[in-house]
Amino acid sequence: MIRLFSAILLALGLAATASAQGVRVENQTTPGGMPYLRIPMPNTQMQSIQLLWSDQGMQARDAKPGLPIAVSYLMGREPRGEKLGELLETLRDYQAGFHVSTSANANGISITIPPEHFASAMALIHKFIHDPALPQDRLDTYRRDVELRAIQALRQGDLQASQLRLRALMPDGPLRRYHLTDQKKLDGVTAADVRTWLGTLARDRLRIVTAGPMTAEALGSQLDTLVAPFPATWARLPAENTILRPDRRTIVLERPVPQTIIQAFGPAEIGPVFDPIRASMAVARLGGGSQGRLHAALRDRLGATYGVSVSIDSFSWMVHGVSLRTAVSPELAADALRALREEYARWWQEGVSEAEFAATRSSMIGNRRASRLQPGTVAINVINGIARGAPVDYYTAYDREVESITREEVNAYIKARFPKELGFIVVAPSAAGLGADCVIQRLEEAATCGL
Amino acid sequence: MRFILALAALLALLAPTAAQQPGYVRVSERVFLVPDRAAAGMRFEMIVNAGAFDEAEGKVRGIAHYLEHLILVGRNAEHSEAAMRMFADGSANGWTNDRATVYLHNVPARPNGYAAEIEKLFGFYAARLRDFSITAADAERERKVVLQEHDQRTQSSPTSLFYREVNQRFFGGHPSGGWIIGTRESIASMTLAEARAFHDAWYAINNVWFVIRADIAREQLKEIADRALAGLPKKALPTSLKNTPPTLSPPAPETFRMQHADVARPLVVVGKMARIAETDYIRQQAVLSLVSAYINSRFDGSAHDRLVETERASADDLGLYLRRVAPGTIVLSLAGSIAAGVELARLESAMQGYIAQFATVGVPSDAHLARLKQRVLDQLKRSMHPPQIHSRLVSWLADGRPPERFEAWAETIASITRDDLAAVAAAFSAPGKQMTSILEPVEGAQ
Repeated sequence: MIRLFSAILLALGLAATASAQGVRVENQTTPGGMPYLRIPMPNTQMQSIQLLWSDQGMQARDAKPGLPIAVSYLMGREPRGEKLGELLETLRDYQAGFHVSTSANANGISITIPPEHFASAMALIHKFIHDPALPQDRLDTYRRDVELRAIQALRQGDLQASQLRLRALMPDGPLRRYHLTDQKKLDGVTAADVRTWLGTLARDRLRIVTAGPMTAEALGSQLDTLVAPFPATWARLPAENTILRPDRRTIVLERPVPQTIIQAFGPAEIGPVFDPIRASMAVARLGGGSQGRLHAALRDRLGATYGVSVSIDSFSWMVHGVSLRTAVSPELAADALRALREEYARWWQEGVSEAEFAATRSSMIGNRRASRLQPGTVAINVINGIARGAPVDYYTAYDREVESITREEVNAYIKARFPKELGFIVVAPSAAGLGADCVIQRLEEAATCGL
Repeated sequence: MRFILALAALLALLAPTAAQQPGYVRVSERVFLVPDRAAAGMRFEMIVNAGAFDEAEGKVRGIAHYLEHLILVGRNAEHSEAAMRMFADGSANGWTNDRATVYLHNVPARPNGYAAEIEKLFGFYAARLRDFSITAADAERERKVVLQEHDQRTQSSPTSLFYREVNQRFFGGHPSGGWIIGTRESIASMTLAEARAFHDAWYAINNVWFVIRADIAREQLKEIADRALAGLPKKALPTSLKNTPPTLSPPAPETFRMQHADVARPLVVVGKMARIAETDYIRQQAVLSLVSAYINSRFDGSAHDRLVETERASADDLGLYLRRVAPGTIVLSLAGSIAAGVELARLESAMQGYIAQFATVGVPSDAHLARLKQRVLDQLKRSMHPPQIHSRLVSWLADGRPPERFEAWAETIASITRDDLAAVAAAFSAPGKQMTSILEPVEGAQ
């Protein structure tokens, strides 16, 4: 009796553990024959549906680099013949939401709905996606607003540094034009372009991942209704192929800013699937907030800054860079630059320590577990993973990867994939003492530094 | 039979827990536990019910925020490293707002539980309720760090500089006109002694709360907390000037203009301050949250519908803010960038017109109120994951609301009537104090 009782308790315990940590992915097919991945999360209260079209067609969009802005704006406006405000309020009543987006690599639609309002909310969202009004006059007004926003943003030192960094790192081409902020970006983009774009969302390239409490029976026909109006096929576009270039110079933009802004940068050869795990483990304690080496050097020792960050910049699934960013007291800018160079060189040469590696692994596993509790996060992670070529059991493979990597592998990875030296963009009140290779006074003069 | 009885007893024990438990447990007078069996880690927060608006003489100089930095970076006897680096694989931070200072720590999953980490944190923060240590050199370095934080968040942002000036002019010398981090001048003159004086005044066991989200037994947590917090003296807290209502004079509408070279899109803010009868703070917060939801909606006749969609005077960044600034005093403000091709005066007048319309019409129907209430109730039902409960509880306590009324928030919302909402609208129909502020490009610069 006691054993039976214990077995029941054990089963309850195991069930809880599995729901907390395991992510089971099922291959499903809708009644209409559309394959999709379903992740059952029975104890959650929201159903997430992610639709993604892998579209490596930067070249095709190059003539209109502002198309993503127009898509995001116009697809969020009213369906034909409807009033936007009341529809949005009805979606709020349902606690439902959707978002349509397009990026360097992919087009996506993200939907979140509580199961009890699923059918009603899906019917509304269907109208937004398949029968949008796409009002040209609204886009025209929005264009001027985008222009003013860009003009204002381009007066900020931080964005000016980012613009110069992109120009130094990326050769001119579709990917660079996509990422650069440009006040005229929406010029020439029309509502008709958005309608044409909508017609490229073909079912033959569509991947669907769902996560949440709803059964395959409840989801299947709704998914069919949602995807049926999309065209069956569309030509696959050629992959973009941007190769980042190293630039080890220090380029200074002189202007009256309250803080000296520093962005160090370089190309990093990081693959699309699980390589980012190694890259993240590599840089985690170089930046890493208050636990990081740069924080210790610039904030704790120099008192020069409030914060410093290190990031792996994914310009597309195949194109990555590494950047170090901070804003420091102008009087301490030269010391800060020296410290950044020294710490980066030491990191590249010596790699991460045993203690840093152990702490990083522990926190990455913890963060990953936290990300498995919300259906939206789970579905997005899985669809982005498989679109990049990860296996369907993305989470299991991820865990295996994190747990099996050794410190030696991470340190070898640093030397193989990260640049030995970085370039520096500095926006400062004065270039004096900063060891500049090229100095400009206005962003528009970037070409004089070969950017 | 015995097995069935035992199983029935077990289920009886579990069922009410699953169906009725509020998702947290009050472990002792000042300590709450949010049990989280599925936890990916542990979160520990200490909330001090004192923030920037509680600074001496109601003059907001950034001392409360500076003290938060000093506690997190100082080296103390309980932990030789800075508290920011308490656990090698964890993270730590702090934040200060007008009325609270909060310290938080995250620790990733531990195979053997979190007792050791929780004990260490309680030991550390119990000691911080008595005093804190930091060398003069470290305090001076941290003052420079705060100055850089100020320059990054405020000095580099024309919008932040504008709002700081608007607040100061609108509220006069009242703490509500202060800027939490202070100004370059006030930060330059801050001293360690002033931080110690703020600590002495406000950091006391009767003015703090601890909220821990973890997989730990209540009894174990209670034992750890009781042991650490035993003997900490209660203090008589100072009177905060933030609770003195600001003056409404001069009552006539004012206009303030600021130009900045980095601005390309003019921004208009219209604010109105009014008096309102207040008998129950929590109930009033429920009323204000529902009115806020309405004025920020897209319903027909809402500010967005009128100013953005119909009149096309404002860009779609229009925001409306309704808040209580002191007992019996509320402020409604509209902020939006001017739409392309629109004269500044037209947006100004449209915003002023909306406030006048709101004062007359309020929330137009019972149906609107019913929808807004249902949304809050649905949202609450959906926010029962431990991280969500933890976050709501911390916000509640940091706002200075009594924990006894946390659980009844849904009932409080459900009890609000259209008359309650009408009282808010009516308050803005009285003269009050109104100010229009404009942030614009430097003339001839564009």
